[in-house]
Amino acid sequence: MAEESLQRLIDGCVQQERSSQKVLYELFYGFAMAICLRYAGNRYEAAEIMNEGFYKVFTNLQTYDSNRPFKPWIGRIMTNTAIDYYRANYKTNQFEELDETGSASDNASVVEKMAYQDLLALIQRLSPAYRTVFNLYAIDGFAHNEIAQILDISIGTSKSNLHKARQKLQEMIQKEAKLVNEKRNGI
Amino acid sequence: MDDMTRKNIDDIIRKKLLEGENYVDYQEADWNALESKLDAQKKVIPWMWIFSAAAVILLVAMFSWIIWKPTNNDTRPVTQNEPSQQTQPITPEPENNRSTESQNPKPVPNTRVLLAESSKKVQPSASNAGTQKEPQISIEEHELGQVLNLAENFNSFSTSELAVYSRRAPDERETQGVKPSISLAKQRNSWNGLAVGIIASTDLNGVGSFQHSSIGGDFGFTVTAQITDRWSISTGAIYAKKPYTIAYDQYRPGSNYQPSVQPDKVHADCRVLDIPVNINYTFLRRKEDSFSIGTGISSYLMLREDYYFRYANSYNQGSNELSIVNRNRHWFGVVNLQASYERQINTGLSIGFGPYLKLPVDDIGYGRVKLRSVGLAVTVNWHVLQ
Repeated sequence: MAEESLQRLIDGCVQQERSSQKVLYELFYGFAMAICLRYAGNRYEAAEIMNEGFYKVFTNLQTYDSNRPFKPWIGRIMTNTAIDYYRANYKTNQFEELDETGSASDNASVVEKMAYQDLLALIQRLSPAYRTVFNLYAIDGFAHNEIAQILDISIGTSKSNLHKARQKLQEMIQKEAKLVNEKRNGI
Repeated sequence: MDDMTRKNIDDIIRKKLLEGENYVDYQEADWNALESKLDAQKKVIPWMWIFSAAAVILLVAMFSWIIWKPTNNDTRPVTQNEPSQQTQPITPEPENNRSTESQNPKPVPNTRVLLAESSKKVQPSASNAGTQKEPQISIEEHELGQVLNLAENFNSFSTSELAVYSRRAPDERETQGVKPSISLAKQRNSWNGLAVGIIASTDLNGVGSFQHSSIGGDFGFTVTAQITDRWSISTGAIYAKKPYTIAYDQYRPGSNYQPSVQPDKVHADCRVLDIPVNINYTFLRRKEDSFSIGTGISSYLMLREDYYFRYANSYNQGSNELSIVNRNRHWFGVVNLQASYERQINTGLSIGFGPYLKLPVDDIGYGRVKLRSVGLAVTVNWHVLQ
């Protein structure tokens, strides 16, 4: 979307014009929802997080500095909202036990071939603790010390959660690979 | 699995997940849910508007009352030898006093009482039956009439002055008419000269807009010099507490330091010495009420700036603080706009109130923000030089 028309849209939203707000919402829905989906356990939760995020966007739009890019600004709000949600709802939950993992050599190619929705489903099956750390580290690029501060955990816990998240993912990917093979071989 | 493979898979996953926005289906139900939330939020009271609307309404109400209230009849013909004409306001009779009151609803209570007393002092002579008017009274009334004229216009008189004046007249029998003292005649309910005063105010402080503003307060001293009948200049020193909250994006200190975890919001509490230099114009004056507008420049000396950093997730224990003491000075960095209503209480004292706006030209404080203030001030002024 062109700079000026986006700016005009933002101006309309600052004026609390409902029509402008709806257009902005539809425009960034996919981007925002994609962030929330990988942090949440299911679509329902993701929608809640996303709407909470958009609410913050619309009520804080006048603090947005138009010299900065808009998409990352929204993205940060969504990520922060997702983290708040996790901390409010899941932090006290127990971590699940870990199965042993198998070989990981084929995993890369399996993932390459996976559809987004299927990969997303795997991510969502991780426990919230692992999923959140994995998102923050592997997708959003935070360092362990930053994650420790954001989630109020130790750096060690952050590293260990990341490790476990990856292990779990590999496990699931391998299961997925087996399923695909079985399908291919006509079961 | 080695690190390379691990990183490789991470990257693949990352890429795929980031493309997700192209695969997400829009659902209208999600918008509907948000819309209800936004509708609920819209009912939040806009304090800023209520605040300024109330101030404006108050000023307009006072304005209208001043303009349209009935005024005293100050062109009463008063002569020495026609006592019969002088039945109007200046008798001690209760009924006439009442009519006096109806003609002069403006409360000048001390004056009226004194006049009544003075009238009583005069010995009634026989000439006009049914009334108590006679030459002596006419003299009295003439003088009193003059005094009443004066009284209407110069309500700044202390009652003792009037009493002395009225009591003097019958003894001295100045039939040639009243000579109000020169100084009294020249005195109006405005004053020339110098006044010192105190000012206290409450205001909203914000950056950018007043949407998320914080309430602060000021207190200080002013010195005002009346240059002409309408124009005055003033200055002073005012201690102000100016709190405000901004998004971290708006906080722009000169340093290049970027924290690894960025705060979400910054809450500032600044103590400022505000030194204004203002020029004021009195555009309406009625008796003891006057309305003025003014503008000028303020200098903000930042005595103390405390910054509190808040993080997006409130559970973050590391909320940082920063204190800057006596560092920043913004000479002539803020533009003032104000309006005020002032009421003369007596010769020496007046009180006033009115709204004001402070708009920065400079970037204020360590955070270099455009800190604006809007508020309502109350003033008390003592006129020390006339």
